[in-house]
Amino acid sequence: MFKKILVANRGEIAVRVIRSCRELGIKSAAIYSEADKTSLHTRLADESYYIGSAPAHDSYLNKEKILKLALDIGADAIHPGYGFFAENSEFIRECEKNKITFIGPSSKSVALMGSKTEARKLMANNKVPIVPGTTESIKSVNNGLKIAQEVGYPVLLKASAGGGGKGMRRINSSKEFESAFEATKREALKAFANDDIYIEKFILNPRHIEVQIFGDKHGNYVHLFERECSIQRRHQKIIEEAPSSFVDEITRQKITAAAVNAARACNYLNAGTVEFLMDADKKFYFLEMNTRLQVEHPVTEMITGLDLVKEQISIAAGNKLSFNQNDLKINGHALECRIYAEDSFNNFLPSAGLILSYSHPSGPGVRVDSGFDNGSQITVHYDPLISKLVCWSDTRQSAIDRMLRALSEYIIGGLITNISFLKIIVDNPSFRNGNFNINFLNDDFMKSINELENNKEIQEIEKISAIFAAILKSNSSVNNLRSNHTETVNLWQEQLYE
Amino acid sequence: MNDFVVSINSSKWNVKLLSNNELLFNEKKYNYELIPVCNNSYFLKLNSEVFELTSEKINSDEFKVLLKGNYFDVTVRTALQEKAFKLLENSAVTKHHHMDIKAPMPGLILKIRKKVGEKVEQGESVIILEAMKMENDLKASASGIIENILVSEGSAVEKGVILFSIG
Repeated sequence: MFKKILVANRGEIAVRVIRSCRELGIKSAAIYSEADKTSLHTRLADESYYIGSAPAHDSYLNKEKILKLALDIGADAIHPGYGFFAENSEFIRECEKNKITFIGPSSKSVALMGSKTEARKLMANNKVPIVPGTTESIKSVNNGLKIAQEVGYPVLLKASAGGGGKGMRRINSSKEFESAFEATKREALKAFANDDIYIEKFILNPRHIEVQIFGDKHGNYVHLFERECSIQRRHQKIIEEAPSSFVDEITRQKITAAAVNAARACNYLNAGTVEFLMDADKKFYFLEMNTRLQVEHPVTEMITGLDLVKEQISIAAGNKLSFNQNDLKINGHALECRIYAEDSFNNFLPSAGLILSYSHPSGPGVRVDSGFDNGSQITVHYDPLISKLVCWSDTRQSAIDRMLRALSEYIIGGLITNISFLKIIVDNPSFRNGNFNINFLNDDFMKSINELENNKEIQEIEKISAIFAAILKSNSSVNNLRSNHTETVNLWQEQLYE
Repeated sequence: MNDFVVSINSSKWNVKLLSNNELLFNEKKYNYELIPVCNNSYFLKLNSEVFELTSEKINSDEFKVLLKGNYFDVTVRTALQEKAFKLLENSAVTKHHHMDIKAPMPGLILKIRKKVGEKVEQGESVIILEAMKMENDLKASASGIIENILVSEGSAVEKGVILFSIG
């Protein structure tokens, strides 16, 4: 087993990995940027190393510094978390060269799956159904226009090197093609340093179903059932669950078998996720394979009782999978809400600032994976994910009730979060009935929640806030009479979008 | 002096603080106690219920209040201030409407979709600002004419800088 693992990430996922290391008796080493001096992962690790200034290319994406640090401090493995170097085959190759174990797949499978077009080719050759479209990148606007016409509008333009919803655009007609083509290329180049893009048929109102898989060095492949991640905004997931309320036992057998096929086809090692789109008839299409631990892995942990990070570490050390397929059963239901620093009611605009007050929910069936705390800074340099709230219960309905309860306990002061928005979704009758798809948060939904402002709970909350503010004003005018208090520095005002 | 009008979104409420930790809220009587916890956190006890609130003062009349995940801009005026405000508001109705749109976060101006003098509808995209690795659409918060554009494509902006104004 490893002696010391360098955790090449930040935020909640760095904290998540550090916790498993601690339980396994492996020393953990964190890296932090200027902006993360007060973040949780910096405090929790056995050792913490300053890696550079706030911009990611100076710190968490500084390959040379991180590899040199790993060698200097005697780390024998690197856990990449998700994002940053998790799916960077070049970084993995450097680790392999320097005899540092990369806790994840080989550079070869990452490179293969990192090219969405290569992945589509491989899947099609291994009888895994793919979304209709191209398996080559689009060279020019004219070339793209022609293909889009053949596939039929609407189509999606996607970055070949993409993921996480970045570098992806829907095109409804040929009129929109040129500007979308340029914008997608621009975004792809910035986000992935590669501006290859391809075309996929736009599947109408699908659900996003994905399967967690694992492979070890001894040729064993297993799946850990499906997750549903249909609740998305800006093509990014915000609520995930396991199992899916839409997938029946027969569909489950088919889709998990396809996922294991996909893993075997590329000799996959370690944890991975095979993502599918599923239409209303429960027909499914391969979307992409994520060669890393997913943000939403906790819902799988909750229903299987496994620790995915420990399993990752053990497999990377050369051990066999600690379980067989037949050992696994789905136990109950789990939901995850991603707590983002963003203004859901203003086009999901990210917010940034200092966390002035923080306290998170607890109690039966509640798990919080948070990367921040009182005094932590949410900066514009990284993703605005603050925390993940996971609730487990024996049924989906009771897990939803628990999620609502837990969301109400959450206090994050100082910046705008999506907590009240998440509450509205989770309590929505269609969400409760499992009647939704990836377009659930469309314009109609956003309009309908603006009318919700008149609902009873909001009115009650407004009422209490009104009383509170009146008392505050009264108190402060009394204080002003007593002394010449200068006004406290206002930290919130600057975050206002006027 | 202890008679307040509180505005949240489009609602207005009357709060009258009495002696002995009692208050009238829309003519209904409550017992209250406000307990400061630390910097910006408070417990508010209303009759038998305790609430945990976070607040930040913006100026003597405006606060940001967080309760149960809901985040409000709250304006509190004394009854007298409210009267004066209403008078001003009525006389301002005929006045020219002008609005500055500021950068909500530091970033890079990727694209400017409108020109000075062009008409915009509320919600129409005016500027694309790149920040947090995303392209963010900055939309007109009101309909009108673009009076001024103070940035150019490719320039980096700090938070709070005025980008354009609508009149």
